[in-house]
Amino acid sequence: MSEVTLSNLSKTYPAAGKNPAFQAVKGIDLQIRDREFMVLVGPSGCGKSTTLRMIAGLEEITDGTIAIGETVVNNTLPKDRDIAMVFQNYALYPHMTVYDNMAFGLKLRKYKKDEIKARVGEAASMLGLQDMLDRKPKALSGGQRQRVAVGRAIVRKPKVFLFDEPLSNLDAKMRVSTRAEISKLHKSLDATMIYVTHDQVEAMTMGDRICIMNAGEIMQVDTPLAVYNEPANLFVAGFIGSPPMNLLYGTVAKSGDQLVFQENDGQTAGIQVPLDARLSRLAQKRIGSEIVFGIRPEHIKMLSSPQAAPAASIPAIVDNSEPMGSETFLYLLTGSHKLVARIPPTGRFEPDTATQLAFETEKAHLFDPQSQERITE
Amino acid sequence: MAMITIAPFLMTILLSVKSSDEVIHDFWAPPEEIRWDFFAQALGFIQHSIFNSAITASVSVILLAFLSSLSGYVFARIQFPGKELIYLLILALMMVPGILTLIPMFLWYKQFPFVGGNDWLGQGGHGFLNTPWVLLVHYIAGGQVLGIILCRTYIENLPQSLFDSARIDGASELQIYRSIALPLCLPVIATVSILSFVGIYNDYMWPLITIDAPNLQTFTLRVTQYSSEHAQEHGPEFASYIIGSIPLIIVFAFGMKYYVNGITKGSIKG
Repeated sequence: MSEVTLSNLSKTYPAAGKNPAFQAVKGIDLQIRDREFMVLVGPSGCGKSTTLRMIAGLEEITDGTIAIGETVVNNTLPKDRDIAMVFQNYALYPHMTVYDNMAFGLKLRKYKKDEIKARVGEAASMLGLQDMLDRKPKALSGGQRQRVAVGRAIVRKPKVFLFDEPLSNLDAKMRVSTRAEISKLHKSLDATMIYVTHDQVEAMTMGDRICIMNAGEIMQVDTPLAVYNEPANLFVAGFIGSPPMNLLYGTVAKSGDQLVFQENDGQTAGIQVPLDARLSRLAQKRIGSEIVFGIRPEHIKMLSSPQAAPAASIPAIVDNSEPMGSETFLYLLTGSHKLVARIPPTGRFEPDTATQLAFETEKAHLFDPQSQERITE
Repeated sequence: MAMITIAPFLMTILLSVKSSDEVIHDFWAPPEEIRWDFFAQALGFIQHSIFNSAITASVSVILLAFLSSLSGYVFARIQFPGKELIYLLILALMMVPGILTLIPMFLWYKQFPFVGGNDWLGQGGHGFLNTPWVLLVHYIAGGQVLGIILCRTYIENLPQSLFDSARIDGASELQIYRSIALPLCLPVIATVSILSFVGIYNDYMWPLITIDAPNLQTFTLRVTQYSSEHAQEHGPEFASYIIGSIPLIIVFAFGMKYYVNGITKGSIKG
């Protein structure tokens, strides 16, 4: 069993000179299942790399425990944790050949020469590195170097693989193909993998589950689709998705016998969004209270003409549009918010044009601005 | 500017093949007869001292380069209490002119306890004086100051992930030093080695006050002795300068690539 369990894990960097003490990781609990591909994702400085380095044993733990399988490894040296790590800058030994880079860990563990040769050969053929074994890292491209770094990890057949932003140094095209290779590798090796990235596309496409972190705390842990469709809080809603979820600040009001979301409490020319039965149920006890209305760009529809607009249509002004080829991002101004809508590429909108929108409210979310949590039934 | 630097060397070559009469009476003129025999004469007199200097410099450089890189690694990558204070003291040593510590240093080596017939108070014998150790220990210890600073700076600028990766691969600190830090430090080690070799080989003051025995004399001592003993024979004297320069030229010829590389890397990586 190679599950990894983090319990109340904390890391505080002590004050140094003029810099005050800094708590990078704040008592997190996380269970990474055996053979799972877990992605830690979050903005810079959220504590994801620190967490990974603590799992690797490269960073001392201030508080809490880390267990790999049944064993607590808090005081175990990195080499004895049975892990392998792939670094952002590859960390290949520049004076060694590809073969020696891959064999280094095995030599230190006193494997027999034949065994080393067999393992390196196996990894090299898995990664397409057979013809490069005699080359030094400087004679390889970025993608090849990354594959050597992965090869160096897999020859040891460790319990847990750790990846620290391994694709950050690759160009966009190479990133896509290497992403797929790592996912394939996870399936073929059937090992536990913990992958740190700030790129949500990597997180969404690679992870069995995603752990979203912010300011040293875990915001949500769930499958990629669950995180996307049911964000636990405002941070996740704003972080996952590109473009992110539109978040409109306002209040819940009553209009006739229907509940509506009133942008900015009606003090400016804010929009009014009628709430459907589900959202009304959620907002029932919050009439007159502040609330955040969240809707994904793909759940905003453009109505063809003002005349065709139903009563629930929302007026907006086109700010600008970004044609992406397969789709177009349309930036719109409402009363006091800027919205983005994802529309088919055929749509053409000139800036400053008045238009009508319809929100698919059955897919919208309500958040409590105080607790930042999503309001659920 | 290059000519200003190289002219004295060319003049030395010229003077080494002119008779003493010509040197005295017609200093700037080309030689009437090229006296290659001066080189044979000089070689006979200084060959043993060149050997002494070359061996002293080589052994010192090997050991000081090894110790500098090891200490540089420790200062760069290992945390221990008082590290920065010790490093600051080492840095401070660079600021003290060598001439100020010459006499205390001489007494220290002379009165070193239990060495060279000394008792536990350092009395009764000659200590390290007149032994190869007085040169080797002094050069190895003294040369490390610059070496440690250069090696520490260089190793600190190597990516931390290389060392982390080696640690996860299963390497101990000593294995990381030997397999990762040392090979990657070769350019800066070459720089330290060449600078130290030239400094040790050319040193005059320390051997002058610590070495008496003719069989231990270094090249600089021997050549000045020759000048004072044969004041009228300028040709062999200059020839000995030329011969004495050969080990330095060899060291530069083999190490120049690494030397320049090391200096460049140092300047880029701070």
